[in-house]
Order: sequence, then structure tokens, then C-alpha cells
Amino acid sequence: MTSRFRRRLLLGMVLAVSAVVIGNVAAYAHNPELDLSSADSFTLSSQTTALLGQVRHPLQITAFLTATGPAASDASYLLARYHELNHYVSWSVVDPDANPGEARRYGISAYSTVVLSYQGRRVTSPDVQEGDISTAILRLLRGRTETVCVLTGDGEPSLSDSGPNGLSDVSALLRQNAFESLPVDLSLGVAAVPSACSAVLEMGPQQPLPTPEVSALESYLRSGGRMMVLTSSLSSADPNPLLQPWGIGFLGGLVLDPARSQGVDWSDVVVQDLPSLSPVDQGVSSLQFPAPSGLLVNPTQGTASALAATSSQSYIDPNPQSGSVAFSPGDVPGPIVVAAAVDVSRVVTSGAAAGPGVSPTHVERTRLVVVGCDTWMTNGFLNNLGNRRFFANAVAWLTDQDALVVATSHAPGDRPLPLTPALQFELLGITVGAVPGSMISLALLRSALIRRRENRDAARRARRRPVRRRRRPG
Amino acid sequence: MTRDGPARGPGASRLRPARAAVTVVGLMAVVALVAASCGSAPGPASSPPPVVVPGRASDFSTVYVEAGNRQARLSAAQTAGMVPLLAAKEFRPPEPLADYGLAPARARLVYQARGAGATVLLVGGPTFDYHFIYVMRPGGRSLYTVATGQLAPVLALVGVVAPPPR
Repeated sequence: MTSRFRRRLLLGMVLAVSAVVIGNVAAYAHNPELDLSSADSFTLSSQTTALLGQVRHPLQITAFLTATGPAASDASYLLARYHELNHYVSWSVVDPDANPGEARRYGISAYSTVVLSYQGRRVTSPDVQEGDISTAILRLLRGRTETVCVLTGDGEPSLSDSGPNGLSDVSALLRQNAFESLPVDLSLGVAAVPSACSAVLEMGPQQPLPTPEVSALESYLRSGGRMMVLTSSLSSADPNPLLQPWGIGFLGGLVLDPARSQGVDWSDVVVQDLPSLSPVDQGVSSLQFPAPSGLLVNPTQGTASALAATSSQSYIDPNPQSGSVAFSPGDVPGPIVVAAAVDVSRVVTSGAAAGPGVSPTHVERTRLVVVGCDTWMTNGFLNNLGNRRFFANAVAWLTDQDALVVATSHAPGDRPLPLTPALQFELLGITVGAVPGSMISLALLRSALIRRRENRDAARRARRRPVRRRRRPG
Repeated sequence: MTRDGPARGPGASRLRPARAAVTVVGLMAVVALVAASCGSAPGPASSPPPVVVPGRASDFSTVYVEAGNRQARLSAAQTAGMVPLLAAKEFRPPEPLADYGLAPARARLVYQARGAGATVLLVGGPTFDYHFIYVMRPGGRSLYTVATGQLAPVLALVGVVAPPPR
């Protein structure tokens, strides 16, 4: 190594070290943050940002936590993000052990309770997580509670059932978003949808709806009602009398999707085509619909749109009990619509004007969301893929609310990857084809370069070698 | 010296530019790591729990509890459970002592040492979720929270009921 080269190397190292030291000193005075976590765990969601845009008065957030330790530092970090987005938001972390008087004053009975105060209203949040705090802010801003009526009496899963087939998570989601879920049984007595219902959810009837109930729901929809109907061919309920007037037909059967299914069960469908611009599809990239049935969208009035459709390789098996899952002549080829929405507006004359300048007409708006699967929102599936967001979007759209908060209280520990056959093929191609192929290509390229250099060196050496003349004998 | 560069004898190493670049980058990474570790705040260290009464049970001849006009001596087994007495938290009380049930105290624990002297603890009320009970030394500036499960059987000896944790 020449001394010149050594000097250059030393100079380069000194420059590199100097750059690192100067960069570190410069960075010490500034705290720019970049969230590189896979789930953007340290960035407030767009819904929270939008929510904070509506806060126009002082909002105090008091988190009751052990003042030292990771929970307090995480809470401080999170609450500081709220303050950054809106300076009306102020926050404090209070140790309830060290401040028992304050804990008593706020009625705190558990750690991690957060109290939010805004314009004389006060709500509590059960945890210092973005989902919980944003929900509490939503409740504070809304100032009232909407009622969502959940139909019962026809074999629907129960809101109080915390088992995998129950709807306790749906109930919690509604409660977190300042909705009151009201069980309504229209199968008994005088069937009429209560006027308090902002929307009616029919979440998987297992037996045919009695005629008076269907009539009551038809009447409700005609008068600008909002309804979500989840149905399945596995039940004996026929939703068509309710749906067909609005341009949606329930095809029944069992949708099988060999390309996009969870595992080997082709009926456990992963829906990845969400073609609609409807707010119901916003922020949803995939859904898990176990044993879905097909829908036919044929709008007769207003607008009807397909919210979710299966892949082109899917099909409806009209007789799933036959035992054969392969595509057969009687099957309906895909893509199959498995969720749809209808929006119908009409001007209704309500009689005499209520006063001068007041129009005697008003607009009635019927909204309907139909899903050909009645298990995707149960506790066992609500948190899978985008199911939770889809449900919250649907309820928000039905009740004319802004986007609801669906962030779960705790960041998911695992990130589910729907291992559909199509994805398996891609993975196989990458792991068996692309990666080894690129390595082999690189090795071949390197080998070729080395050989070329060796040939060049050999030629150069041959040119430099002195030509020896063979001495002639004699 | 050849025409292409310095002459290389057998076994002589030549520092190639690629190897030099790798060395520099590696060195930069090490320096950056060291600088980052020096500049960043230390992580949460697992600190030992605060000690309210240090030592061993054998250091004390008797331990007794008193509340009002009632007094009870702790058995050897109970004493062993109270020495050393560890706390979950130690802090300067930001609120009046009455908020902690310490003005007046609900009970007193007296640790009589084998030599001269005694350690006295004032026992206050439960924390907000009843998982801990406030204790402090008379005239002390620090306040401790001790597990309810540890103190409740002792307090029960003098009729002081500690509500179970919520």
C-alpha cells in the first residue's frame, strides 16, 4: 500500500467520522420523527386527525396511570401527538396512587382510565390507546347518542354473547362510537320499528321472518329507513321479499373461491375486490367472509353498487350439500357480488307548509347495506382483515355519521396474511424462482467477469513476454 | 514496480478500494452506534422496589401492631412476612396526608429491634383500587404503598379491615 493511498484512506475515515459526529450534534437539537412501524403505531390515524379538526374549544385529557414506567411514557407520547394536532387539547398524566383525592374526585376505579372534558361534558375512556381516546372525543363532540336497533327473535346471534358466534364485539364497537344498541324483537306483538332507531341491523336471521315483521321492515324502508341485512344460504330465512324492491336479489348457494380463500377451505372466502367508491369500502382492502352467498345487483331506483365481489375464478355452488366442490355445469361463474349498497332519495310532500318560507316537501333517503354472509361480524371474525372497518363504515354510512373510529384498543400483535392460493403461487414463484434465480444469475455474471479479466490479463502477459527465437541447428 | 501499479511480492497484501469502502462504512456504523447510544436517553431500568423496613426477621425481637387501644403482637411467621417490608412505590405526597388516611393514621406498626431502638410505621388507608395501603414513617417525607395482601392479615389482628382489591 502506498503512502499516498494510506493518506487518502485516513482522510476518508476522518471525514466519515467527522460527518457522523457533526450529524449527531446537529440532530441533538432537533427531534424530527419518522414512524417506520409496520402498522403506523406511532402516528395518529386520519380519522383522529379529522376528529381533532372539529375540536374548537379547550379539551382536557387526564390519564390516570402510574407516573413512572413504560405505560406513562407511551401515554405521554400519544397524548402529545393529540396536542400537536390541535393546541386546544391539553393533557396530563396523574398517578392515582399519589393523588388519591383527584382519583376520588374523578371516580377512578382502575388504572389507565382517561377522563376527557369538553365544554362542560365529561366522558371516560377505558384505556390510553388511540382508538379509545378518539372514540371518547367523538362522543364528546357528538354530544348525543344514536340508537341502532338490532333485530332479535329470528335466531340472530346475540349482542351479549361473548363466544365466537356472538356479537359482543359488535356491541362494544357500537358503544365505543357513541351508539346505543337496542335489541328489537319484531316477531312478536305489533310489529313496528321504533322511531328512535337511526338504523336497523338484521344480522343473520336463522328462520323465516314472520309476515308482519317483513311488512314492518318494508314500511320502515319505504319511509326513509336505514337497514343492514346480513343473510346466508345456510339459514332458512328468505330475505328477497325485503331486498328485491330495492334492486338486490339474494341468489343463495355457496360461493367458492379457489383463488382467494383462507387455507384449503374454498368457502372461507377472502374478498379483495371492493370496486365501489362508497364510503362503506373506504379504508378496507380485504374482507374475510366465511361461507358467503351471492347477490344480484339490479337497481330499479336510486343507486345500487356492489361493495364486495369475489375473484373471477369463484363460482356459486347452488347445491353445496352435493359434496362436490369442483365447478360443475349448474354453477354460477364469478366474480360474485357478496355485498351491496342501495341509496334511494326521493322528495316527499308532507302536506301544508309549517310556516312562511318553509317548504312542505322534504327528502326521504333510504339506505340499505346487504351482505351475503352472516358470520363475518361475529366475535370470531370481526377483527379479521378489514371486517371491523367494513362494519363500522356501513353503520356510519347508514346513520349519516362521519367515519367511525375502529382502531382497536391494543395494537395487534400479529399481522394476518390471508394465504390464498393466488398468494401461495406468488410466494412460491418468489422463493423458488426469483430469489435463487437472481443469486445464480449474479454468480454467473461474476464468474463471467472474472474469466474475462483473467483472459485479458493472460493476453497482456503474452504480449509482454519476450519472443525467443529458436536457434537453428548448425 | 510494474507498469500497472506497485509490485507485489509473495504474501504481500494489497488494500483494494472495495475493502477500504467496506472498512469505512463499518467504522461509520460503529461510530454512529456509539454516538446514538451516548445521545439517547437510558431505557427504563428495572429498579429494585423501595424498602420500607430493611433487614431480617431475626433483627427484631418483637413486631406489634396497634390501632386505637388495641395492640397485637405478630407471630414469628407473621413477622417473617413483614421483614423486610417492601413497597410498590415511594413518593413525596402531593396531597394532604388526610387523603392517604394518614391524618390520623389508621394503625401503627412497631418493629422492636434486638438492640436498642424501634422502627415505627404509620398505616393509612387503601389506594384508589384497594390493591395497596399507604404507610409512612412518623415525620418522614416519603410515602410508601405496600400490598394489601401483605398488610391486611396484620391489620385484622387489631380489627382494622382492609377492603379487598377491586
